[in-house]
Amino acid sequence: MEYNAAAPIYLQVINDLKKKMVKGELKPGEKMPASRELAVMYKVNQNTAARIYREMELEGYCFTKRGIGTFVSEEENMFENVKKEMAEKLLENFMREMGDLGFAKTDILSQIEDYEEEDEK
Amino acid sequence: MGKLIKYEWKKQRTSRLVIMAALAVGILAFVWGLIFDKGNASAAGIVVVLMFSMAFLVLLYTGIESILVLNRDLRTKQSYMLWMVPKSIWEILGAKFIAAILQMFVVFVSFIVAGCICLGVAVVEYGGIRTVFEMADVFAQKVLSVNISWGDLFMLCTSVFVAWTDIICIGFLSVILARTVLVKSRFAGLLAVIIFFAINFAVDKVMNILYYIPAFEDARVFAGWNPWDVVYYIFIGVVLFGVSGWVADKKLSV
Amino acid sequence: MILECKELTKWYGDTAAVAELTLNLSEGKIYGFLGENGSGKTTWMKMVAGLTKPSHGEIIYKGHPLCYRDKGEIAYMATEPFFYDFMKVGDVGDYYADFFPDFDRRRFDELIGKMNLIPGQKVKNLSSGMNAKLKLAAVLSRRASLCLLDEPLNGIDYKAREEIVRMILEEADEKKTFVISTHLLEEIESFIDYAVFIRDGQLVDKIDIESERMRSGRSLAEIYMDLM
Repeated sequence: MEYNAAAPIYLQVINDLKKKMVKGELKPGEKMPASRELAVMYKVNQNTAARIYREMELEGYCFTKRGIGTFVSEEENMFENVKKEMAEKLLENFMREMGDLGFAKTDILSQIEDYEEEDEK
Repeated sequence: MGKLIKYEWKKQRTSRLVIMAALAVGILAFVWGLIFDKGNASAAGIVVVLMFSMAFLVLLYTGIESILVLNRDLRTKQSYMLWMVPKSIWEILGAKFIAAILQMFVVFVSFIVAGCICLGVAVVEYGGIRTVFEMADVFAQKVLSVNISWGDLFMLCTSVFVAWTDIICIGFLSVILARTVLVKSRFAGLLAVIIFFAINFAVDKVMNILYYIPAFEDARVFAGWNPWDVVYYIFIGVVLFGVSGWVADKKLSV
Repeated sequence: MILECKELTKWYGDTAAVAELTLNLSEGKIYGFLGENGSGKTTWMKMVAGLTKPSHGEIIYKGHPLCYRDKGEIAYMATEPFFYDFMKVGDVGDYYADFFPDFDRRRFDELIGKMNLIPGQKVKNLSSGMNAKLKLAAVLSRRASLCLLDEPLNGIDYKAREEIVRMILEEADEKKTFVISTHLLEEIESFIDYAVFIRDGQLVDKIDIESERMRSGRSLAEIYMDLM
């Protein structure tokens, strides 16, 4: 994974994991990688890996069964919320940046109308 | 310790192979002479004398090489291999010393034993030990212009061997001192040689002085082979080894 | 605290390779050692590995002054090739197995297999990249408490670098401490806990880089440029 070197690594990894949950790559109730695997997968150290799971657990995205491992939360509607949250955040950033460039909402909407996706798969 | 000795032994394998090959050539020459050149007893005598004198040469070479190996073990990056192991300095130096002695002993004894066997065969072949000794003596007188006293040969071997273990100790100490003072400098090798001769000189001088102290007067009366020499050399060896280990433990960096 | 260096100093002639360096390392952390060539990183590592004697100062390992027995728990990997010329790849494993109680032979065989090294190959015929991999396989197969890696990513192609970082992270846990010196900041910045900056044999700073990213939003390269 490509990191933004100026932002905390653990937040970037949490974000990536949340995306995976939203996309269904990590399913509710599924076992998450052991923290050593997570460390290797994301090129982070053990302390960061532990922190990632601690934070995610605190926010309710996953839970730990002692001695077995960490699992994705089983609450289905939570993923919808995550999706909404992440979308809202992106939108917020986007609107702010566009606003900084002097675009009003209507300009932006028409621009989005005209926007052609470069890479149709 | 055994494992350390094993790897020290491996470091001189190449030259040991060369030496043993040379010995094999000598034996082959002797056998060849026995079969194809039967009348020529003096040729057999020459081979036997060569084997005995070569024994001292290879002893010399193997000893010097083990000092050179220590120098390499301090100078090159390969030094990390030896000094990174969790063994005390005494074990490492001890292993080096034992390996050096062992190798000197093996090549030396190989030549002596081969020489003796050839001698034995020659005795049987040419009828009478006297003839062979005479042949060897004649050769020795011609070539080396010395008289061989066969009875002293064994004693000579022993004292040479003990003296040589001292040379090894002096060599070790010289290399360690030079590498401690000059670390990686090109001149460390030269300094080691200078220190080597200086210590050698000092050891001989001290021995001479000791023999003139009245209490040791008696020790001087032994002619040629002197057991006090051996005692002195062993004592010096222990002292040198102790100093080497102490310096290496306190100061040596690779 | 796994290691404490107090006013550690090493003189070479009249230049101090390491000068009054006081530095503590905690257990289970990964440290990146950063600094110019000749800033004293290698000398510091060799002193901690017990290969070089300090001119002055103290090294305390797990609460006691460093001694030769600690070499059984501290692994050091030099930048240059250092295996004996007479060795084959497999002999290196034998050597480590002979001397280091923390060496895991099965792990070594697994790693050399992964790196396409053949046990019968002569060490002196290996390319520099292959030799670097062999060194790492040997050192990382030791389950050492403190692992000192001097420029492990130097002269190694991109793919192998990823493999090496992977090997390190597979071994790193809360019991093992790693010190990695490198110039390749981007390669290590995602996984080191602390960046230790060294200049002219002196400690410039020791920085918890994740906290620093949170506080000031600076990347490792930016911190480096600001400090050095």
